[in-house]
Amino acid sequence: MSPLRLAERLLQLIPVLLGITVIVFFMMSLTPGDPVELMLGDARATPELRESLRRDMGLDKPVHERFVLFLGNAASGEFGMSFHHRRPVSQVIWERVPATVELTLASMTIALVAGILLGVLAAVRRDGWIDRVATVTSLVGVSMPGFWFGILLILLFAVTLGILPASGRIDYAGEVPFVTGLLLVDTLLAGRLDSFLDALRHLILPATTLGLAMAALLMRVTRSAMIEALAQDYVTFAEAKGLSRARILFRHALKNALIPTVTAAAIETGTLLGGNMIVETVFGWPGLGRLVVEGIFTRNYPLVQAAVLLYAITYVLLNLCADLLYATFNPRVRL
Amino acid sequence: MEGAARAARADSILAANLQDFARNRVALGATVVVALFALMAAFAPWIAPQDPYASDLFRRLQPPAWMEGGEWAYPLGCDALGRDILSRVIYGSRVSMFIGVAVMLIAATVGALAGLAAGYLRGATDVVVSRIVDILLSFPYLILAIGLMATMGPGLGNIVLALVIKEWVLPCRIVRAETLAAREMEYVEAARALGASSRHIMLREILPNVLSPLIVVSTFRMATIIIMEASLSFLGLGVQPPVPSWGSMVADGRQFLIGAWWVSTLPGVMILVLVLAINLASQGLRDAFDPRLRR
Amino acid sequence: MTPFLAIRDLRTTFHTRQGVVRAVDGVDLDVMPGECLGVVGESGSGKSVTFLSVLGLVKPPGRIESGQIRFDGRDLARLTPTELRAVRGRDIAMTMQDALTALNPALRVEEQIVETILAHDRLPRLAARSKALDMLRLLGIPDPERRIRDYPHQFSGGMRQRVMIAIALACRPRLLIADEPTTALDVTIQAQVLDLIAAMRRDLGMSVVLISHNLGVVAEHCDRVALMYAGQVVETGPTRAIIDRPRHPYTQGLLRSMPVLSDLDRPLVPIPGQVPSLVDLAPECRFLPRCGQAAPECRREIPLLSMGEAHAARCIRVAA
Repeated sequence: MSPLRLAERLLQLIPVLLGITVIVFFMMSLTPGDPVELMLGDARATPELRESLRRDMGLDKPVHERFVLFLGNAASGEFGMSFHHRRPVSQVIWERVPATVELTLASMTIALVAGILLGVLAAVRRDGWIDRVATVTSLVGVSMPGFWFGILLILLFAVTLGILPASGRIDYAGEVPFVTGLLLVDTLLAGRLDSFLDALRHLILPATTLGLAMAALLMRVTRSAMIEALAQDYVTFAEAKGLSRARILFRHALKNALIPTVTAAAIETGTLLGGNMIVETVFGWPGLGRLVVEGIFTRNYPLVQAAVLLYAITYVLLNLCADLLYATFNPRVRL
Repeated sequence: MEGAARAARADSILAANLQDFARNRVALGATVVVALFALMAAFAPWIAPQDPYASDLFRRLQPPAWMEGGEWAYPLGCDALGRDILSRVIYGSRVSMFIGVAVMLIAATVGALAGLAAGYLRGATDVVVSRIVDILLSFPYLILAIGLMATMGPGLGNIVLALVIKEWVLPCRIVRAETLAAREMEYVEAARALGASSRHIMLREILPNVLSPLIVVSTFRMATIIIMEASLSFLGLGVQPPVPSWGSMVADGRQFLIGAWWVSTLPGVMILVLVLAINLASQGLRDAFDPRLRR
Repeated sequence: MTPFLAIRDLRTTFHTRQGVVRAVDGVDLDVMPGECLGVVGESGSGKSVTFLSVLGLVKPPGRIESGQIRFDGRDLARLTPTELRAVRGRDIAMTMQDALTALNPALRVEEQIVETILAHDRLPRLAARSKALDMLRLLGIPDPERRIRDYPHQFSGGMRQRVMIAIALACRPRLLIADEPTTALDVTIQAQVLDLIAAMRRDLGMSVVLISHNLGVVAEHCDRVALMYAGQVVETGPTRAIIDRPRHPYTQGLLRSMPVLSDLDRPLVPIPGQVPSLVDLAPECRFLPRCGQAAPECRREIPLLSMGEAHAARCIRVAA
């Protein structure tokens, strides 16, 4: 992609990002009741304190001024104080981001590997038993509520078999110094193989739960795209050239089949990000999703506002990446 | 008039499609399952063996009937408050079916009208609608719904609203695209030449002909809507206790996974079966309505 | 002279819901070293399926029912998939009708040609690349060093066809099967591509099978012609003999439906009727329903009857 087209694509993002910010701002401004009261909850506070809080939050100003203020703050990553945590919202959020990133990346990896692999196998052995099993599995996979699947996994692997932990990221004994915040990386940097394996064991169930729906979807998309690709002339020509079966499948057919798969994966990351909240709640995963859910119940609106905005912006940027990736898979598209 | 003939043709295509659908056994079976759920929701008070709200502390976490300590008056056992799980599951179908149908219908209506207006009128209407669609599409669904529920507070009406706000986007996109194509067709141009109003053309000429894709996408969406409601209720943001909802029932049972697995797992089975049935029925509908999409 | 490729009694069928389609039904064909054989027929006559069978590229629900495909003292119909793969592209190469669909849109031309070379020769990548460049140059593609980095869609139709031929010839095969090499091209480029194939045949000393629905194209470039109809060879012989003394009513019909340069005023007469369904064929001449010279004797299986000079036709009139 030319730098000019990239710049144009980035410019297109501006109205979308602005729209997101407007929605998030008004979503929280329309909250019934006085935000200060809601924030303070049952805590006692003098009228003077309430008044100064009101001023700090800019509540004494008209809505449009408050929006401009919010926009400026959001751009600088400043979202005010989290009373519940007695620290700035941004700080609280950034602490939780690595756990969520690690979980999301792990489930995406599982979904991509399992979905694409099963999709290819099902397409190659079309109407064979692998195809039937994979088709039924994927149908059940997209129909299964994530929270319930997580609970089934806990029942089987943690409660009944006792081979995998049901919650948390790592055992206390295995904790390592913070570097990236991604435990799979940090444990290796610390040279603690035992901790690495422990973190991996904690990751398996939540990542599988989160990745299931996406894997099911990607499997279906890959399967039908592979079936279509394998019927194309270029596959017959590749066979006539005497290429190996593996090369025909994985280089010729799959590279074309991945075009719809990448698109579907990008759209599905939205489900993945939303699913964070569910899966982190089920597995007691100390990430952003659980923070938001807790924030709702402690009526920590600045925090919820900031997190929702962060999720939405992440989703927009991930979709941009998918578009860029799309261009590399499909040379006919010049973005 | 031309429009009536066109609509009649669309009707006969619809009838042929429905015949195709009736020949698909899996889809037909799935439709029967969905219908059974609807009946269960409608007649819950007559079907449920117990009062879903009556708690009996002596029956706290009583196992299902086939296990030791169970009894057939409480076939699926009892929850932590000693309430009959089967009765609560039956009543729970009311929330799921109501939200699923209500959100689907409202979203389809709003989406169809917005899509027709954007696709037919073009210009500023199209720009505004398309921008809103773009922005809503850039929100992960559950996150938008959670954010809205957090600010609006729980309640059945608020769930419907929180889901509709994003849900109308998909029907809108489909209808807009179909309308853009239909706009250039002869029958629309003929109606325009005869001096028909934009409203007449949109609702009488174009709408009947974009109905098939609208129905197909809407039935598929119902499955997602039901999972969304269950997820919100699971997080405690949906229907509030003591009203039984499958999602909150699964959540309630989480603390008793060790020792009383039935509290959490059985309501989840209902979600899975209903959503699976809706998906299968929708697939049948899609195959019947749009043979091009068949594998 | 012994044939270089000998197809004997080849039968390829497709098992479909409507019944068994006999796409190729007892075909005998020979290709001599260095010759160009034209195979002519309408779509559905079995000409393409015959040569897909030779390369073992018939896909389910199609399969080779019986017959021999002798090549180099081996029967290709009985090779293992691995042995067959070594023949494809190396000994026998194939080009397809439309380079736009035959070339992979997602891969650079470089990869598509180099992988062919590497599939058959243990070469360093760079050596394979320079062989690829030689091939592109040979096929008259300007500025190959730059163009090799392009994707298929960046070439014009004629250049793309050349690229496909370059890929097919990359391993210097002894036989090229060119399936409708000009159908997808503009008339002005058709001649160029055919001349190019003829030049390659001379330069590389290979045999060519030219599959076409156009008898004119074939007559101009081939030493011998075989006409196929409804899964069978109906007439075969030296090109001149076929043009001057066509014996099968189908061949005669085809010639009457073709314009001739020397007599542009002659009316063109299309053959009436259409190709029969290849399911449940009766044991009779397959051209019978469309034949203007049909007789009661045509209602039986008719073999290829020789007229000398290697000219034979599947018609009762040959004996008369």
